[in-house]
Amino acid sequence: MKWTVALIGSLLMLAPVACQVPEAPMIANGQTALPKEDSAAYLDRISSRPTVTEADALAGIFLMLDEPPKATFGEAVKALVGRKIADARWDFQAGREMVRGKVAYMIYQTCKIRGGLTLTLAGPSQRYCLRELQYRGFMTPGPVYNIVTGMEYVAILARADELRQTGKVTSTMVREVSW
Amino acid sequence: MNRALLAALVAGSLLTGAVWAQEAPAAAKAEGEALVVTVKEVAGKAQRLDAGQKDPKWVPLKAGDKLSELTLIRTGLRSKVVLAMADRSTVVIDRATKMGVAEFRKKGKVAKTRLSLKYGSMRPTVHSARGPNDFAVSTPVATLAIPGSGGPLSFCGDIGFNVLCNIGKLQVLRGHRIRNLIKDEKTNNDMTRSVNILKSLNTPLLGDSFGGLTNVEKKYQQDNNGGRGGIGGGGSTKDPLPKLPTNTNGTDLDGNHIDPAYQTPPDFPDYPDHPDLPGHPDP
Repeated sequence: MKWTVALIGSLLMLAPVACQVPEAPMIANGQTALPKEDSAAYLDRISSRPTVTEADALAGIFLMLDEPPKATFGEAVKALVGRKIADARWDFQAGREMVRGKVAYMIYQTCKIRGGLTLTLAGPSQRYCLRELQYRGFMTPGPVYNIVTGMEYVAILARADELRQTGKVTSTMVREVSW
Repeated sequence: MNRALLAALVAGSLLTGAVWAQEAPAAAKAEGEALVVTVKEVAGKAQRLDAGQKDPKWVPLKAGDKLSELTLIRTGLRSKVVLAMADRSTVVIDRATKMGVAEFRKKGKVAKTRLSLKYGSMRPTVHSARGPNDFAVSTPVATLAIPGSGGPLSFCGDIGFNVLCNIGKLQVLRGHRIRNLIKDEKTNNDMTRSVNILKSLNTPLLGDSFGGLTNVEKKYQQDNNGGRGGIGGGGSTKDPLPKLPTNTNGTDLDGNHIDPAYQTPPDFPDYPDHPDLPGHPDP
C-alpha cells in the first residue's frame, strides 16, 4: 500500500515536468522572409502550388487574422506561439511542407472552435483538432502527417475566414455527405 | 534511332497542327454582339486581369469598372464582388475566389454567358424574364447550365464542386452524367442525389465521421445484433433476428389469417430458370 501511494505521488510530481512546454520553439531558417502580398495575390499563388511550405502557411494565418505579416519566419512563429495559435512543442522549418495536423491545430485555435469532450479535457492537439475539423466538413479525411496541397489550403482558409466573419460556413463550401 | 526521332518530330508537328486547326474555328465562333460586364460593388481585396491585352497585369477592381471577355477576377479574404452581366444576370463573387469571363455576347435575342471558376464560390442569378439566356459556369470537373435560376456554387481543391439551386432550375454536367436540380436541391462532386445528401445529414453515424461504418463493422453489426467491437456487441451471436414465418398454414406468427395472395407457396418445384431449357413448364 505504501509503495503504491509512493508510486502515485512520484508520478504526480513528475507529471508537470513531463508536460511542461518548452520556453522557446525550435526554429530552423528563422530568417526566411515571409511573402508580402495581399490576400487575393497570396491565394492565387498558393492555389498553383502542389504543396504549402510552413512559411507560406504562417503567412496565410496572418492574412486571415487581418494583421500585417511579420518580416521573417522566426518572428511569425514567435508571435503565433505567443498567442497559442501554434504549439511551442513543434519544430518549425521555413521550407518544409506543412502537414494537415498543424494546419488543423492553427485553424482550430484561430477560429476559436469549441471541440468535443477530448479537446475540452485534454486541450488542443493536432490529432483531435483535425478530427474536429473533419467532423465539421472543414477538412477532408486523411492522417495528421499528410502534406497539405495548395488548393486544399486555399479552401481551408476560405472556410475559416467565413466562419470567423459570419459564425457559419456556407453549405456549398463544406463536405456534407458522409456516406 | 534517327528514324524514331524523325517520326516523333513529325507526330509532334501533326499534333500541333491539329491544335491550331481546332483553334481556328473556335475563333470564328466568337460572333454576335459583345456585351459589357459592369462591376456593381467591391468589398475588400479584389483584382482583375485583362487577358486579352498585351503584357496583362493584375490591377485593383473598382465599382463601375467595365469588363470585357477574357477578364480574370480574383478576390481575397473578407472580400466580395458583385457583377452585373448587362441586364440579364447578376453574379456575386465570394471571398477567396478566382473566376473568369470566357464569353459574354448576344446572338439574336439570346445572351450567351460562359464563366469559369478555378476556386472559391459564386452566386449567379439569371433573370430569365428579361430575355432568353444561355448561361453556364465551368469548374475544373463539371459544367453548370443555369437557364433561369440562381444559387451558390463552389469549387474547392479538396472536396470538388458543390451546388445548391435556390430558385428555378439548374443542370449539372459531369462527363456523361447529368443531374437536374430544382428549387432547394443540391448536388456535389460525386453527383449525389439531393435526397441522399439530406438522408446522410439526418442519419446518426457511428465509426469515423466520413466513412461511416466500414463493411467489416456493418457485417459485425449484422452478425452480432449491434454494437461496435469493445464498445458494444453484447447481443446474441446466434440468430439475432427472428426468422420470417413460412406461412404454409395460412397464418402468421400470431395466428392471424393471411390473405392467400400474400402467402408463400409451400415449395417451388426445381424448374430451370430459362423457358428455353428442357424441363421448364412454359417452353
